Amino acid sequence: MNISCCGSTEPLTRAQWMRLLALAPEQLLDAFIRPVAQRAAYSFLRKPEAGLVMVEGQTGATRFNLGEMLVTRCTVRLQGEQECLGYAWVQGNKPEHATLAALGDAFMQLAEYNKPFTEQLFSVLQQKEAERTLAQEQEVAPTRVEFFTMVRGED
Amino acid sequence: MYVAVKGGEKAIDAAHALLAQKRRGNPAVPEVGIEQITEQLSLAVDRVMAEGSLYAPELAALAVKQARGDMVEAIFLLRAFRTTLTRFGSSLPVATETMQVQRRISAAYKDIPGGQVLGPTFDYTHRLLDASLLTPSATTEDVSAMAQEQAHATVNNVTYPKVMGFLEQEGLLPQASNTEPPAAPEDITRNPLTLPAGRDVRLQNLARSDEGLLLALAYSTQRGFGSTHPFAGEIRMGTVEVSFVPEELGFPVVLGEMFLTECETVNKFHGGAGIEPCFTRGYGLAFGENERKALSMALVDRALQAPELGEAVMAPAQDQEFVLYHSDNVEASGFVQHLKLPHYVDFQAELGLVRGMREAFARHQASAQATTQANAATGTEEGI
Repeated sequence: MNISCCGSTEPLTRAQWMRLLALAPEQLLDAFIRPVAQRAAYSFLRKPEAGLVMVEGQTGATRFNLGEMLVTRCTVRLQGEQECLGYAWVQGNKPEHATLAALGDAFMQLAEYNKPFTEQLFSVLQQKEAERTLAQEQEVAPTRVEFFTMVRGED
Repeated sequence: MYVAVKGGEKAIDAAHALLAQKRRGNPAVPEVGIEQITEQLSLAVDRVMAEGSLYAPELAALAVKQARGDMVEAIFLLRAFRTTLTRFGSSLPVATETMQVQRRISAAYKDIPGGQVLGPTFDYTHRLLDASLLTPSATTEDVSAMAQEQAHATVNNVTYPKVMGFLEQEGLLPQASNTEPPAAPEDITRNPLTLPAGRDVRLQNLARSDEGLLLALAYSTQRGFGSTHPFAGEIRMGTVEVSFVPEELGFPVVLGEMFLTECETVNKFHGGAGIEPCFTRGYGLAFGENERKALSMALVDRALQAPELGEAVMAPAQDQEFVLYHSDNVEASGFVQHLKLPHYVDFQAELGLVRGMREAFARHQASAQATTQANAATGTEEGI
């Protein structure tokens, strides 16, 4: 399920960093992005807003609407020599998380921020994700069934 | 019909105040927190999300608390809330084959790649009340022993391919043709349900259906009302990522994760409607840990495919109108419970009618009795 590229030297694609920002623990984003954002000039193109995304399922050739998910979206405009727009869609009613993720998306588009963000924030996010995946796998591993075939005495 | 009545505002306010007081219960007992509900009554939260048709654990927990644990009332609260929000778009279909699995079993194949993983299941428990839970701290030791075992568990990048894939490869389970991409689904929250309903509409309806109704209908198919001989081909539950394509960007972005339960049943099919003998499939998918619901949904989904497979529609579970129009517990509860609203004028009319009918009946009885007596009298005279 991981699109992440833990340990890889390939630069992150925009879809990859947006994913990591959406799934990140909010405190980590707050600790890293907020101080950077306070030194930069930005404005909201769209303030954080809660809404819905209809989640689809699929079986065979049939797509169907499973139900909706609560989502917060946000768009920021980063002003400076280069102006750029940062977008975020994150699960739940999380205005702060959405704002920080949108700022993260904007900073990552700028060369001066891309490298330090990748090295100091996204490497941590990738590592946290790998740890979480491992912990989840370890949690269920002892419940894997080892079958013994019973001799049924037929022969 | 019921008509508007005025008055009673004070009584209604007092009733709501009393409701709030009863919800809180004994003030000497600590109040339950939303986090406690999401963490410790998570299956209640999951049911409310599934039937409320909104994935929002914190709000579902709030609904459970506000509704004093009444599931259907909590589901209603969540449904009402979702109508206040705008929709940003639709996700891509969730890829359940990439699920971070917490439980995955097959009752059809013993040896499956990835293995049978029981996860946190009620199965094989003895259903004996556990008195140790009466005292909050009693389980700490078990949990830490478990954590030690988990830390030593070997994990070798296990993958969990879909069990149905094996039957598809052998050609025993009809596969989706790759020629055309599946059509965008109908949405019963936007357009009214009409019959006959396509499978997309049916699956959306079943996904938000009342679990109790689905369970009863699924059970009825097993007992012979539209029997379909199912096997639980695969049940999996775990986390999947949800992505969608924002108009502003034009490429898919992951916006979060959700916990899902998926169930695929296989059913022996003797052939018909131009289809050779094979297996057919029932499909169930639900928010959260919702295994009973997902399994029931798969059985009912298969039963509802009867007309497409040339099977006679003979049982309630196969009848689209019966199932789809009675499956929504918010609608059903609304219509049944509206009977509690004042029907005073209606009932006055009924009173008048019944009294009139009784008068007519009494007159008829009296005249019939008079005739009998008259006849009897005549007969006596004739008998002389």
